[in-house]
Amino acid sequence: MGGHENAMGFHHGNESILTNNVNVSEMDMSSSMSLARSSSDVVVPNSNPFLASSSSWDPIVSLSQSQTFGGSSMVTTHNSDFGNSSSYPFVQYMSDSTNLEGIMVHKIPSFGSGNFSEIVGSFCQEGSSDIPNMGFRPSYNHGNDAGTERATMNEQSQVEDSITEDGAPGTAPSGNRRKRMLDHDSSFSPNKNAGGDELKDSPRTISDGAKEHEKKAKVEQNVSADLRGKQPAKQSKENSPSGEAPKENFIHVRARRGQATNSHSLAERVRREKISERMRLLQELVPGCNKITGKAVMLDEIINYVQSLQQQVEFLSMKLATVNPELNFDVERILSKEILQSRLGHGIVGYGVGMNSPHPFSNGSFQGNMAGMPSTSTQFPPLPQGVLDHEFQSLYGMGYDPNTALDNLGPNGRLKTEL
Amino acid sequence: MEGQAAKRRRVYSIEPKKVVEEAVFTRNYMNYLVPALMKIKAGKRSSHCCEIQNVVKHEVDMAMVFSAQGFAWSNALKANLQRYQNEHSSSSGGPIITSNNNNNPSNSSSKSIKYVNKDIKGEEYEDGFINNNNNNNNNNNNNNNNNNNNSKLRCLRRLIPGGEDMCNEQMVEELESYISCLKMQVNVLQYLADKNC
Repeated sequence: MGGHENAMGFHHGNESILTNNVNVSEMDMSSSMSLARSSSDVVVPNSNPFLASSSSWDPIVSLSQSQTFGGSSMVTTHNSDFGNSSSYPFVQYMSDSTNLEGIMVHKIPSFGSGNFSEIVGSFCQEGSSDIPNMGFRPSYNHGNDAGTERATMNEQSQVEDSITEDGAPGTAPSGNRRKRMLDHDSSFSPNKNAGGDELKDSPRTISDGAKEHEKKAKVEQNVSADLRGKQPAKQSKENSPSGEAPKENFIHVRARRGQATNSHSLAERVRREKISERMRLLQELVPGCNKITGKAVMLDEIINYVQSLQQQVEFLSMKLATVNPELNFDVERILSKEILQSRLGHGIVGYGVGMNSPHPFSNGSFQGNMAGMPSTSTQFPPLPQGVLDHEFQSLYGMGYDPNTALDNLGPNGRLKTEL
Repeated sequence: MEGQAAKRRRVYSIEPKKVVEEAVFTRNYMNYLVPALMKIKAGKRSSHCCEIQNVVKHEVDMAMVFSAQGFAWSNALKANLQRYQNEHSSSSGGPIITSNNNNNPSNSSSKSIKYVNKDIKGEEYEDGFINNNNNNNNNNNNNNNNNNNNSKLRCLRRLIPGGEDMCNEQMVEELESYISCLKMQVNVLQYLADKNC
């Protein structure tokens, strides 16, 4: 019996669904997820005619990967049809259910992983019938893990076009400007989940008509593509007929719930988020900034760090200018690579530590007339790291201790390199 | 500069995601700087120590430029250096001889042209920062936060070579490479300086 089969199939799939639910929920914070999840138990057997005969989730998986939204044909209950039909199965079904689109948004990426029940469940629950909203990227790159990317909703041009053309009149509502950006690796590759991990760039913005569902407007941080041809695309619409070239030029941004949807503010927000993203990267570069969470403090740190680095460069260059050179650099050049690579770690540590306790790495250590030096020398860490062996010692696990390093200073206050 | 924001265009790096590798950078840097230093030392006797310092600094920066190519800041730095050199090479046969004294009478000779305004900028920054900070404490306004951040971004923009021409977004990108290159440069110079004790 279909119902029995259905139940079986459902249960069979349920485990995967549940696990996928977990994945998805971790990735997507939308409320509708929970909603769907709660409903997942309820869902399928009763309400889904399509599943009546399906005993496995596989066809759905294949379906999701290759189908476009906006198709209107009703999916039959045959497995083969699931795999083959060119339209999204739930279109008709959706007419009964309500607020589809947000769910669609969330569920789609997970769709390929078999969260069929979730989607269906959500369909059941929601009330609106915005079928054309599924003009929304059904073809996801399901090489991704389940639910990792709603981001994978994407950017195949033909899909995009079809969606936008079909979809959206009802749904491209009013103020929601979209800036489109299509991923530039737009190769439409309907990978199955088993195919493995083609992980898209994570937050990808979705151009969607709906506003109700709060999702974070995820800016495409594909900066390179963005930079390549950024036309600040304040185009709200469905973009290019060809879809090839402009793909790289637009950023899809979705207005967050309760936020202005003016194109300018969207652009501003995109820019700001990009900057914040970069700041996070900078956090790793600047020592001691791992715990800082504020942009202002971070900026301060960066400024201080850059200034101190520049001062160090000047200081050292002056030192170089006055010191009598023993310029046997041929050998050192070979060694310097290793030296400097090992030194780099300490350079960072020493910087952080030394700043707090400026050691008197001062006058006596210089040969030649450096009258102006002492004033600057106390400003930054002495970086007593010239000794190779000491360096390697501390590099390999003893922890960096500036005091010890300075104890090893030679009579001139300078560490002798031994080569 | 009036209308900075409007004039500021994007100065894209050629490879926006380029990462400067330490070994490559170090090698290039040393390869450039060491012969230059030797050459300077060879002619050292005749020059005043201040000029030598400037020359060395110049070479240091040039080494930086050559070691980290393809970034907007490195191009800007190169332009600065060339402009500086053009300005001063005409004064006499040798490199920067008297111009240093003219340009930086008050500064200690440790400051090169590029960084000459650093203290001033630092002070400006601090004043602005303190004012904004007070405002922040009092009002905790979003506007004030933005102003604060903006002033900091302005400072950063002055710090990074070529930052005047960059928009905020790009500047932050350039900062990554610039900071890492600065770090590597410091290491190289440290090594050289220590070696030559």
